[in-house]
Amino acid sequence: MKFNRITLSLNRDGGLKKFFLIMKLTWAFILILNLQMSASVWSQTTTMSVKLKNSTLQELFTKIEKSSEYRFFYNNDEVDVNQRISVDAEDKTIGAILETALKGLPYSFKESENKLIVIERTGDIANPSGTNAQQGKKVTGKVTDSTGGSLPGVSVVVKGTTTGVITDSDGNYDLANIPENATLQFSFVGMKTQELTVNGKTEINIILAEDAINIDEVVAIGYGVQKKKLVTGATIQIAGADIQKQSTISPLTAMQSQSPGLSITQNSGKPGSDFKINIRGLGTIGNASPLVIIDNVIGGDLNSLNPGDIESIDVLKDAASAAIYGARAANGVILIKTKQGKKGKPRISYDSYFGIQNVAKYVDVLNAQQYIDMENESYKNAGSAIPNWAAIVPEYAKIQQGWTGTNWQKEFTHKNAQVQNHTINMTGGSDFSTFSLGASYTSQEAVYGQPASPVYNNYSFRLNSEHILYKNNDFDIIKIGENLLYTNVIQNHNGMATGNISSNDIRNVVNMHPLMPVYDANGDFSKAITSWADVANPIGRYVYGRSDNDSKSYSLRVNPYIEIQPVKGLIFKSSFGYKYYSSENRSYMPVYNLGGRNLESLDRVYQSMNSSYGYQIENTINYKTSINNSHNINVLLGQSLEKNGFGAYISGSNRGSIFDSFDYAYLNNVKTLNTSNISINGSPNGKSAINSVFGRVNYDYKEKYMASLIMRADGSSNFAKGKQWGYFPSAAAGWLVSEESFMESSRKVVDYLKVRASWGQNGNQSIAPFQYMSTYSFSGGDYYFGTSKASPSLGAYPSILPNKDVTWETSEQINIGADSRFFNSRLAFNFDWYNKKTINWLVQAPVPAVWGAAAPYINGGDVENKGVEMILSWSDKVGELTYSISGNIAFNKNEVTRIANTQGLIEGATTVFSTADRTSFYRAQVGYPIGYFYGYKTDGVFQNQAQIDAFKGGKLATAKPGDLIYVDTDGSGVIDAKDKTMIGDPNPDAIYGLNISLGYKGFDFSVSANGVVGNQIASNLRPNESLYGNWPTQYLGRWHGEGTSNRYPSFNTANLSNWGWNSDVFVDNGDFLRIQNVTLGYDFKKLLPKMPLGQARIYFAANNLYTFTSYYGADPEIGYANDGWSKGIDLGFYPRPRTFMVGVNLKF
Amino acid sequence: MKKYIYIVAIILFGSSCTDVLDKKDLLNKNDQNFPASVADLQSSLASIYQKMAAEQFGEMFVGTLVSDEAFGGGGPDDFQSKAIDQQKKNNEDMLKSTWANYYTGIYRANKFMESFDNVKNVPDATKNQVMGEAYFMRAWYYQSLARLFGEVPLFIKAESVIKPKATPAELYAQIASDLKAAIELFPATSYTALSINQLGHANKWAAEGLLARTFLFYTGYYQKTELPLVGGGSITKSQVVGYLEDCINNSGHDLAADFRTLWPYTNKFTVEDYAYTAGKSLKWLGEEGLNKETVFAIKFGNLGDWGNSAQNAVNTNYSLRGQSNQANSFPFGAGWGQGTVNSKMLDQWKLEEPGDPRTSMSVLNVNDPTEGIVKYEDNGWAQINDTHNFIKKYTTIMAWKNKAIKTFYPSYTNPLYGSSESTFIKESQDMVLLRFSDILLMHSELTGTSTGLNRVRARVGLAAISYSIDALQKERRHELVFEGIRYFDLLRWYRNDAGTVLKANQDGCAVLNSNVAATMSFTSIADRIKATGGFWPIPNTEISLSNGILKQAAGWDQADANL
Repeated sequence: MKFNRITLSLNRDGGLKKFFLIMKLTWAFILILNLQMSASVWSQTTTMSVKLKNSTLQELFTKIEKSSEYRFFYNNDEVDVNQRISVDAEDKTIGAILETALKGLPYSFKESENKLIVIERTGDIANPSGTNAQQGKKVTGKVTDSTGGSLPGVSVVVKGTTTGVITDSDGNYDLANIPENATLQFSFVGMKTQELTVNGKTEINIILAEDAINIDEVVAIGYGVQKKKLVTGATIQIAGADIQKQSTISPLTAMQSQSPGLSITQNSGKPGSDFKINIRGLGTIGNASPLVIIDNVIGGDLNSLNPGDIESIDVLKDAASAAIYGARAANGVILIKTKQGKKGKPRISYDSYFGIQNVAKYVDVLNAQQYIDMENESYKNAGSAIPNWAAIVPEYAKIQQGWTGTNWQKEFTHKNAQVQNHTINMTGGSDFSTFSLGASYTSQEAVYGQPASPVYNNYSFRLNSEHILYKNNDFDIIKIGENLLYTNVIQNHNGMATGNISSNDIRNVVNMHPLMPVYDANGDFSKAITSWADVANPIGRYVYGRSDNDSKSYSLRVNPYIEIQPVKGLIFKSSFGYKYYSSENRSYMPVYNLGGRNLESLDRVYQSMNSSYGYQIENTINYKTSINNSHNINVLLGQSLEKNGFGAYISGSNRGSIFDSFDYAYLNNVKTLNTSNISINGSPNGKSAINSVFGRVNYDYKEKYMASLIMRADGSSNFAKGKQWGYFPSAAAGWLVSEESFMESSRKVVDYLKVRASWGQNGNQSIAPFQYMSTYSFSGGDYYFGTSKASPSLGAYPSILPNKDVTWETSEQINIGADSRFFNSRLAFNFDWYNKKTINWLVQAPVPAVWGAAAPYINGGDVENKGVEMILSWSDKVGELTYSISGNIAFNKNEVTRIANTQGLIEGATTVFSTADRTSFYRAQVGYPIGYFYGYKTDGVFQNQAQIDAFKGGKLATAKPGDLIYVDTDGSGVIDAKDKTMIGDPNPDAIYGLNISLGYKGFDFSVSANGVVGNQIASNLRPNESLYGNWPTQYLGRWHGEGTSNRYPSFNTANLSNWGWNSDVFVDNGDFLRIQNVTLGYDFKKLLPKMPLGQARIYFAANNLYTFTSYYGADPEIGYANDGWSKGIDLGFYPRPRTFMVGVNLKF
Repeated sequence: MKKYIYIVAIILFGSSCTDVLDKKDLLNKNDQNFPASVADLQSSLASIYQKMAAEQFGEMFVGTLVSDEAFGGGGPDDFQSKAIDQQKKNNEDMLKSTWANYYTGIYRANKFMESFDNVKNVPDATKNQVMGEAYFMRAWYYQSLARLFGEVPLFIKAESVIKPKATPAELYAQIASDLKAAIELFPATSYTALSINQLGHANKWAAEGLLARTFLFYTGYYQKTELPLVGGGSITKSQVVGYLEDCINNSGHDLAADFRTLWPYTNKFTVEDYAYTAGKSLKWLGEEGLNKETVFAIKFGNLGDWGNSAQNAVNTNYSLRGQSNQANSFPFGAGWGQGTVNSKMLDQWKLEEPGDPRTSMSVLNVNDPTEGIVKYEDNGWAQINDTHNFIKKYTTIMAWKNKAIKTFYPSYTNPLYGSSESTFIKESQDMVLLRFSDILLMHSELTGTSTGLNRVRARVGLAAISYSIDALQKERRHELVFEGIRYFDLLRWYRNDAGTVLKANQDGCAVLNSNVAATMSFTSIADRIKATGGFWPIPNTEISLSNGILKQAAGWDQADANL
């Protein structure tokens, strides 16, 4: 529910003759006052100047309505608006103006937080109604919002008359004496006005749809809020309800379709997996994650937050908006507000869903017979004898009889894995205290990992409250409050490996040959085929090697604060944020033998614990004032001190437990003290400190011209003295064009048009500390002098080349944007253009190995991200059908413009693929996007010898039909490493989202989808030269004779140059469109209005219903790469599951 | 009220002083507080040696594979060993880790020397010893780099500057000067008088031996008569002979009585269960001071893990690949099957020196009944270049846990040193870089006398012969096989023509590739060595990071350089 904009302006209706308040107005006042979030009376704070001589009351009201957000509400029969008055007020509050104007008249006024000023007659009622009494009929009903919550305070008016009421605290209304064919008009702040004809009905219940965009909505801007209408930067706000309605475990999944400019990709589909979040492209190869602030406490884990706890998420995308968080805002800022208390009787809501998940798509791989055929072909192509399968494969006879072999992916699948979520929220409060209390439980089983699939459990508890200690008639003097959030994540069987080629259980099942069964005759995991003793049962490897692994984490965030307002408009706020995090992990590996080297002769017990805490002290002074009712100024000054990294980590492992199961896997249960079996680690968490001062001035002239200036200075302990302080300024301006008089004529079309521009600088200090010193490391430098093989001599070595000058990385960004609304706000369009430059990029640019120590971080590069973001939405109503459709798209172009080493280049990991070419597949290089794919370009496959002979230009001397035609990009006539070039880009050209929602008589239906365009995926699902890995069926399209393929070369066990070199053979387009969520709900309150619940909605939803893509892998949305700064590397990716669920939303 | 606010503001705002930004590095020391004691110097010194252990795929491994002693072997995806065997590259940064580890060792040695004076009141004896070691290690790294890569940049200060390649004369002058300095600093303590804590530390005798090796390579390969010194002067042949004689006469090093006791297959947990050694009263000399033949070695420990420098990974590389039941190949443990032995070399050896017992002492023939191997499975994990002959000097040796039921320790190091029973990562056999027999043979070669030569022959029961270069060359080949010596001997004896020898001695050797019969082909190796001079490519990354100042070694830009 939103309480911002009043759409009621009954007094403007020229034909208004009789406006009749059936309910006692005083009753309505009590109700309205109950809705107030705070006791402040706004008409007592907003000031303006009015000069009227011998004018009418009507004129005064119109004037106030024009220059403020207030609307007047009165009964024409009681209030004579043609009453003459004179007012001469200079910079007076509205309250004071009205007091003056109404002096001597029999009227009084009251106002609600809805900015509705009700004029009431206090003297005699001259003309009591009754002449028409009892002539019409009576209509009753209830008004609710789209989630089923009752809406009090909605104005229900008979169209074309002044007859109307306001709904009570339960959203009920009661209109008597109205004509049979009347049309009722329902309007409420923040909601779209709706009309319904009575048509003889006696009960009319209605759901009001929220206005697509609320001009008077406030958004979080860091250390405060601002009217959305006045915002000059590029920010987006996502309502908690929009997150929650997608029924996702992580709020980030739900954000994907609704946040243009944010690239959100999960590193793996495994429950609890992290996400990669980049705002407006990658600006660094270091930490590129945005700063997450939960309830004003800096630093937090958005992934483990329950969507049901979120009230709103604000994303500050441009530098000017983010500058208030200076030092760490270079990657943008995400502000999360958890659900806050609301005044009124306690309201309880319960939201829950239960779903089953399945693998949405498998990588199709060859069956046993196809596999053997393909192997034979590879040997034949190499001129080798084909293997004697009957001798090698014990199951060969079975295969001959038609056994298709093992499909390891399917065997590994945990069918119908469960997912469930339960959230209870309670809010309430009095005039002096409000609270919001929430508890939630989420559990998600993994779709892979049978028979020991991972389970993710998240328990959270939240308490937010606020108390007014002192107040006067005008304002609150002292307020205290706190936000508390406790999260407990428990993950069972958490050891499943996803990631690189050497430790990746999904890869293991994808590329395991199909020639052996999962279980042998005894029901044990079958052992490796003798000749391929290295190729062990991948399910056994997971179950024995990794599955016995539990991890738990506990996180507590508390943020008590005090707000003191000694004089009106001057607010001093002091807060202390504290965050505590601890985790523990325990694992057990039994004795096992899966054949070959896959055996353990001693079991292993591992335990680790980590605990850490950090705190921040923040003090701000905020002064808000208005001069002449036209110059509105809001000044903020603040200080922040933050210290993190207190605490320590300790871990140990040992072998030879006296028990033999995970339940007993504690280090005390291992009594053997063999030093070579023991590993002990203990270290402090890296302490860091940031000390900051900041200031902001927001100014607007009559809410038409806006300007904002921010300056923040941060000192970081990550740098040497003299290099610690960074200064981050920003400036922004906006112009509300639609308020101009020259727009008057087009107002029917253009409701709202704002243009804005901003510039700012942000910082990034996220590097390992002590880069400015020549440090000596005592880790990994030991050597075995003397006779003891068990105790090495301690080694110490200079570990990094020092860089005394290392300092902030700066991100500078220009943003130009516009927000607009047309056709009675049905059509909305937002646009942003930006140019973000990362300057003095903090980078560990490679140094020559001859220098003898690791490269330090240097301020060694520049990156540029340019892009455009757009949101277009339309919402309307046809009969009882409400609908809205909204789409967003963000284009970004990323380019590295400088790297300060002689190569201008940073290589990625070199063991990305299992190809002979052990060079990196992706790199960061000047002139290219970060993380682009690097390798040989190919131009088809040689089809026959004649083609090879006739081929002009560089080709391999060894080229045979079926071999790749490599492109001699440097024209040297030789195909060599110098021909490697850009063969793909994991960064999409555009990311888009689409949301459709429909509502009809208690039913609601919504679809959300997201997708990307123009990126590539590099996949390597088969260990290329090993003779035992299975092929994706995609590779059946290989060359095996003239004309059979011009993309994939032939397989040949002796040929390295086809499948052994990094080339575009491994690169595919990664475009996709994912139907992320489809929900169909029905509110039984509609059917059974008498039930005691405020809402009883049941819904069915499907997540990840379908993905449109040409990519052959399991999932095209691949966050993984060996380094955090690239992505789109498919080495056997854990795909997102498809989920079908049923849920309920109950409100009491 | 206002007063109260002021007080709060002062308290809270007052906290923003810069002191909060100071913090201590709790996990590392730095230039300001390290080194501060002799113990710090010792730690610093240990880390110089550690880079030698971290890089086991240098001279020893590369030299063995590229030589005519062994093939690449391994599995189909062991591209690097295949490439090394043919003197080609499988990628642009093929020997980058070797390059990087050696230069890191050099940096640490430079840094050690530069920071030495931070420690006050170091006794002279200690100072001479540790500085001698630092000079020795820097020389060791440079002679390895120079023999592998030919010309390389020379850093004798811990500095971050881009340098072109130094000339061989500059490089060898530095190596010679460092070794000379080390020889002069080290005390002349006999091996037998050394405290066992000194085992593994470089000493005078190691420096003398290494100087002789350097002299032979430089004068042979570059056709010089003397080894230059920094700032003029040189080291002459007679000086080197003098050093060697000092080593032979005064070092306390000597040949072991039985050649077999040099190798772990005679360890006490295995020797009587291994058919080849059982009942012969053999006792491995081990690595605790009894092996007087070891002049200098890379030392390993039993805390090995994947990729750390405690384990001898070369042993694992050479061990039998993919045997489904390791008990059947007892006592030869599991590994990756690289460096399969060139059977032609073995045949030549048996012809050249009939009755030389070192053939079976150095080579495992899995078909030889005297080995007592129950069963060797062909095509284990798709073994390629299989000749059924494997390196025996450096390989994984198992021990029975319970012989009756054939349970075994994956390595003798488990019962001997109490290392955990993790296959593949607990090999800790020291890698001997300088053996006393090499000292004797170098002396023979430099003096043209047969004394040393015949001592080496006599130890294995071979008759005394008179000196000839041919006899000397054969003796070196047989005595030092698989010890990373042969290839560099060929280079200094034949220089650019070494490839012709490599081709002649290896071409056509019968092998099994994934159990398919094939013959080894070395059609291009003669041309490769001609083009490259036998040296290896400088890692491409280093070249591109040098802004063009560093140039690739000859012969590595051409198309046939790729595997």
